[in-house]
Amino acid sequence: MTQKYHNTYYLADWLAGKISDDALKKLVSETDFQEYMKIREASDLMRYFEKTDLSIPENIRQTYPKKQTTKRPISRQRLWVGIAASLLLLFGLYRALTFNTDVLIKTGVGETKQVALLDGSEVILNANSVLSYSKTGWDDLREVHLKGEAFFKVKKGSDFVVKTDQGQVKVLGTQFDVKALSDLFQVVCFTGKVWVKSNKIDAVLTPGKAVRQSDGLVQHWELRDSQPDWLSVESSYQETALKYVLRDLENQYNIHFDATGIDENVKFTGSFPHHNLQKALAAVFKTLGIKYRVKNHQIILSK
Amino acid sequence: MLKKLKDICNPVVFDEIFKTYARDLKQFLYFKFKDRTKTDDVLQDTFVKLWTNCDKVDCRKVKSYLFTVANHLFLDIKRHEKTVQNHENTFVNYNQTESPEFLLIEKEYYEKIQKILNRLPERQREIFVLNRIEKKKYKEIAEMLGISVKTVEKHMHNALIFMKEQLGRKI
Repeated sequence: MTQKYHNTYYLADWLAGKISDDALKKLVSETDFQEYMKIREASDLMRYFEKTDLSIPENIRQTYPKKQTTKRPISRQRLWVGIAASLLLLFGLYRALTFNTDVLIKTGVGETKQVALLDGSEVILNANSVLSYSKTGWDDLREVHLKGEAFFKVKKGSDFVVKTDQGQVKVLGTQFDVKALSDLFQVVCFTGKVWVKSNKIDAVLTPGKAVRQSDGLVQHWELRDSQPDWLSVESSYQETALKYVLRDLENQYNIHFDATGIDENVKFTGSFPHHNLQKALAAVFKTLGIKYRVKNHQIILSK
Repeated sequence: MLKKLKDICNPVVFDEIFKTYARDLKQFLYFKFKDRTKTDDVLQDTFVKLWTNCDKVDCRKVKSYLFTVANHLFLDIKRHEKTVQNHENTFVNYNQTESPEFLLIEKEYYEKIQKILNRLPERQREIFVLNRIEKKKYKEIAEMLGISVKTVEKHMHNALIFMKEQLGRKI
């Protein structure tokens, strides 16, 4: 009698290593067995290719070509200044650890900031955004609050949560972009996996997937970029309501629109450059057939 | 910000370049070598070369630079291996035995599997990726998604069957 195997989901057991290759061989045909082996191997390869925690070793980093420092003898005066500075630093550190532990980072119009968090995770904050977090308990709970837009590169570790007024994003270690405006909540996943939760969304995003919620409408889409376009030299949009494009233009160029004469909900697909206002305006409004003229720091839009 | 973005010698930019191209480059090298150790070595060497030449490489051309360097390193190694092998052949009868379980995944097959993976039903794909690529245990996945371990196993089982059946078809 051939051995009977009771779990209906023997393939899952085999992948988990609970039953051996030989055991599987007895359960399926030879050709199927070969296919399963190849699928397993191919998925191992996927993991091998996906592994993003590769980095350049420290010894090579230290050969940073532009930062070759030369050693100088330390003078007595410098030594004292050094000691005083260290004491001050220690005191500051003590304060930071015991008293005020909330950190607030803001960006102004047209400004982006790169922030390193306590665990080595990175955040790049887009224009007109606010990021805050508390240093206490960071080891147990990595949690930041965001208003505006930011790109996150999270180091692997415990859960990392981005809270916004409209919903939250939870991840393990990955890269993603969050845009949290008063009436728009948008998350784009670039690597790894993120879990997005709001009153309308409860979704796990895989690389290249994105979701947004605006005016109670939830929309899923896919993209191919490896980083958000605002990190490069232009912003691009797909079927996005004009009001969000206007807001991005305002944040980028420190301008103000008077949009009373047009329909702000018309959908825009296209992009605008970050460093040429004239071209940016032409790119957005010419495609939509909207006229614009400048009057006292305001740009008046009309049909 | 823009100026910084173009300066490869800036570690942040360098990191970004690494993260952007490392995977494609790795894949490119792997299917040439069919060997993980050599792939890892050359991948490393390629980025080391970029780092040491960071002030000479134009950021806009960094992709073609990386692939060209990687390809040259690959050819160097192959040339060297050939010489060594020719040399050895004159002395011993070089006997290449591979274990019967050794599976060589060709690029075409890998791409086919990738396509099939994308065609899996959403839940199956999600769970398959979590388990095979993120290396999450069934139990962890069950907790993450708020379903039972049995359901996770069922999805994994069905995902494999789906993929096998799709492979049988002409795509």
